[in-house]
Amino acid sequence: MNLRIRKIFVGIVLCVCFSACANLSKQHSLYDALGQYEGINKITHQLILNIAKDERVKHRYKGVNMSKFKKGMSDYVCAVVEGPCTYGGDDMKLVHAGYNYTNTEFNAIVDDLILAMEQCGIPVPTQNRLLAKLAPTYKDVVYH
Amino acid sequence: MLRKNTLVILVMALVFALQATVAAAVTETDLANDSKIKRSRLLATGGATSIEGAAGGGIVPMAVIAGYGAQEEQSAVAFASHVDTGDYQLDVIGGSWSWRNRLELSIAQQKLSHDSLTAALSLPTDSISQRIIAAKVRVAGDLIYTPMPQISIAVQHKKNLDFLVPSAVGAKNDSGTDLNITATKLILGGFLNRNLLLNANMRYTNANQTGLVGFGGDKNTRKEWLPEVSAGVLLNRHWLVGSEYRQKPNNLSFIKEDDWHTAFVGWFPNKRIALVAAYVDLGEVATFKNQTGWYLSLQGSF
Repeated sequence: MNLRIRKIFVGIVLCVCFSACANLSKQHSLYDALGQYEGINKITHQLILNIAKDERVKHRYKGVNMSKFKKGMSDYVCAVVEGPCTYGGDDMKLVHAGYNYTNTEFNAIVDDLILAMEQCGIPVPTQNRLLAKLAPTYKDVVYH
Repeated sequence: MLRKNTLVILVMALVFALQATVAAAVTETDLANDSKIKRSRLLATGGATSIEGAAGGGIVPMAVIAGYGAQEEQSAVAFASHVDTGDYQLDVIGGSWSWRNRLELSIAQQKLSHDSLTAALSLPTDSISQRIIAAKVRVAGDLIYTPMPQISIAVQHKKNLDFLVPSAVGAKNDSGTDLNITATKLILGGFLNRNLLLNANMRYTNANQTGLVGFGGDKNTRKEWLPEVSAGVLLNRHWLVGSEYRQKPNNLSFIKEDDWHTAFVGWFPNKRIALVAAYVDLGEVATFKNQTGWYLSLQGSF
């Protein structure tokens, strides 16, 4: 009855608090969880394959040097997840400036990235940790 | 005569049939297709459809806009829901159209079957129907991509189509309009590295049992602000478990109205279908105590 559902509520709230603490104390670094640079590079590779098939965004990559894009993307992700890399490219705002990238296109890339991570066998918690790191770039990528 | 739930079953069958002909999920096969994907928001971000037709959970609406249309797209949703608490059954069918992840227009038809009440009070009717026409606008934020939660404002205009019994128990009006202000946030990795969904709604209403027992009553006719909250965890892209709470008005002295609770599991196999099952606790409903039972809802997105 009421009590049962309230208990579930309280349980959820308590777990959220505990998980926050647990996350601080001991967590496999995200860089390691992704399989270090090799793992990140595999995801990037698969992402590019997915983008190439995605009618929503593939035209955006016409004329782009894909091996350069791949290295830039992998370096960027590696740096974002605090791996031992230096991303030498421009910041996200500058990279995407002037292209009027849309909300649809941003969602498409996220779709393709999630699919790439699934294809590379990345577990859900690790997927979510990476997405949490990348989601804030929305404001720098999408034109409004 | 058609059996009670035949209509719902027919609608569900229709939704399934339509699903088979429409494609819009992001899988390897979808990318292998040459046609462009037309609904781009991420899986489960359109929510399910609440009993009043708005995108949300089962009993609490969310700020999300129905379907999977991104800001340059549109989408549509059809749904059918069934609740059974022993003494009451509620059937709902409806649909919505959404534009640019900005506007959601929805319609829902509810039918409450109350055989037990009819037998107990020798009533001349055995069901009450209600129609709800609603509009929701996303006014700020994004469910996932902005630090601010997604915030929406919605109006739900409700028309009770069988006002005889509601008026007999003291309800004042056969129609009313609820105002909802809703905030919803998906925190990526927010719960044990699973995605956490938090939702709060403030409803300005005088509807008795969502309007099925009319609007206003002998104890109170004015609208009041009532809180509704829900929370859930996405175990992965496809499974959402959570719980809802909805505070209710108490306008009638003849029949007490309790707050509602649910615990639900939502399944989002792809962007076309969502199925929600829930355990519901509606408390006392029109003289029958301990109305607990099951809720099942099927949604198709196009």
